[in-house]
Amino acid sequence: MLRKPTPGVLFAYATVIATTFAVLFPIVWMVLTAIKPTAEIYSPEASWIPATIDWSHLRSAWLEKNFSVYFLNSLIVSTATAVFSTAVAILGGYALSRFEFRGKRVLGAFVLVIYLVPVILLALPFYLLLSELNLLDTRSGLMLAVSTYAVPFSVWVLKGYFAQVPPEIEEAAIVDGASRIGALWRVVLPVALPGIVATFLFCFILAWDDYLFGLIIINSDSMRTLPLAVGLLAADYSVTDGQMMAMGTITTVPIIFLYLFFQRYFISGLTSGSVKG
Amino acid sequence: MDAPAISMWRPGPRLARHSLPYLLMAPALVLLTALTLVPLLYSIFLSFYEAQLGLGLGRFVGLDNYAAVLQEARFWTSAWNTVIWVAGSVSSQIIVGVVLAVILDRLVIGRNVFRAALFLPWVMPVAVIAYLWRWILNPQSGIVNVTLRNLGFDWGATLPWLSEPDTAMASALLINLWRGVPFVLIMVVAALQGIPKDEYEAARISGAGALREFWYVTLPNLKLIIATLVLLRTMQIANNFSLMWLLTGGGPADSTEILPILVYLKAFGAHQFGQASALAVLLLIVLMAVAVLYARALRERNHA
Repeated sequence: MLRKPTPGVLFAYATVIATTFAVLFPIVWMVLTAIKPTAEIYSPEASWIPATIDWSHLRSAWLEKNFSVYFLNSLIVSTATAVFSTAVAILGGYALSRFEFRGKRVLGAFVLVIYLVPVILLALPFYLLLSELNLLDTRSGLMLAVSTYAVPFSVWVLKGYFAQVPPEIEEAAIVDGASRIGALWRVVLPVALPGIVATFLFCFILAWDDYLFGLIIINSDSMRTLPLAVGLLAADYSVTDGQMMAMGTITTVPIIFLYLFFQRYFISGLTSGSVKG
Repeated sequence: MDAPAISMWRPGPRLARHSLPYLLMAPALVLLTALTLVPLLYSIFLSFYEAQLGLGLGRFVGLDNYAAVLQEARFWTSAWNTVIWVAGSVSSQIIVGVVLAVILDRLVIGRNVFRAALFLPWVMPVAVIAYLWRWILNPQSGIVNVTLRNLGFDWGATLPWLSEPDTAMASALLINLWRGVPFVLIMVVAALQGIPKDEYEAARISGAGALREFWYVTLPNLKLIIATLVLLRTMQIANNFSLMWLLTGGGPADSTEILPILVYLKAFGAHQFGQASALAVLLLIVLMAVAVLYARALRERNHA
């Protein structure tokens, strides 16, 4: 495979490296601003690399601005959304990949078409519905709302993954006396594990990112998630730019680490549908 | 299609065998019906009622809400902004994404590392993206203007990129490009791996250069994924409220007010729930029409 680098390949490297730098710069700049002393943030000469590291923005965001609470809320809502949506999608995706049943095409299309409905259209009825169910201003309400958005795509991704698992290994387990669900749990799931990790991650990232559902459902400070806090505090004139970027850093860094750790699964999961066409 | 036969393997009551797929689908269907289909139908229902704050449902007004919305100049401004926002975002993201993917695909070593790094903006929360860029484009202390000032450009010294009617939309489009290209990129990179190698061999033997190769081999093979991405991104961007809301709030002076923002302001700002619903239903109808026409045009072109 290895060929002598041609001018074309060298050009490709130059372009990709320059683009990567441009793409990553804003993220790096956010983190750098968060750990710079205030004087350097407003330096007219633009201090690119901080001369001294100042943790005060991060510390005040975490302690005084309650980001420890918002962080915990985001963690709870995102984990719950990911567990719930993945479980629902495993069952639905398995049914769509393994069974022929009446209405399968309609149900499959329904799952996807619903993805095209503008979220903003659902906002108001959602608000009314959740208030009927006493789920307004709760993490459970937010989890349910985000799940409606996470489930359709997840069903589709997992359907694709299950289709790649050879039915023979399942048949063997069933011949050996396993039930259908037992075979799904003990034989199919371990083989489809990369797809399940990808789905879990997709749902988690979606929930961590959510702003609109939270804006409509969450009201009290103790229930607020990170993106809601970022949006709210941006309008607060007592919050400095350094603190703002510290809040952004706290909101972003965990999700970036999670992504980098599992990125192989994540990217293959996202693209599996498109490769199959 | 994959294994219809094995459902017969399991001895057991007929009913259990036939109801199993429905039982498996049930949680997803209940969730989507209760929390998407019913709210959707309720929205449509609401669009025919007065439904203002303090009135409850109010009177049945037929199509009055639709008429009222369509007569507003603000609606047409908003619709036009939405067209520019969607068309500009989708076309720029697809073009840059495809070109970058093809270039990335030429890397011999490190392709996966760069792909992983270039995907990062996609996992960032939208609220952070908005405020990060507002800081970068801050008129006084943002790094863009500070750099412009230090390079001696007077005009860039205090230009408020996101709160100047002439530059707000263009700035928002650039930010959306930064956010949207990663998704297009990884989808196209995956599709590139599916192009048969012998097609490239054939092109090379007949003496095609890199550009001709791109035009005659790569692009035709990417037709399906590009068509899918255009439709997907159109729907995602047309429906997206958060990024623009957090970047500009629709301002300055309506210059970036897209339809999802107008729906939100009507519902939760003016509390005109009936009109807000009518507006959202109009958006849905237009999007569905676009999707159907687009899919039909694609099918006809492929058959021709």
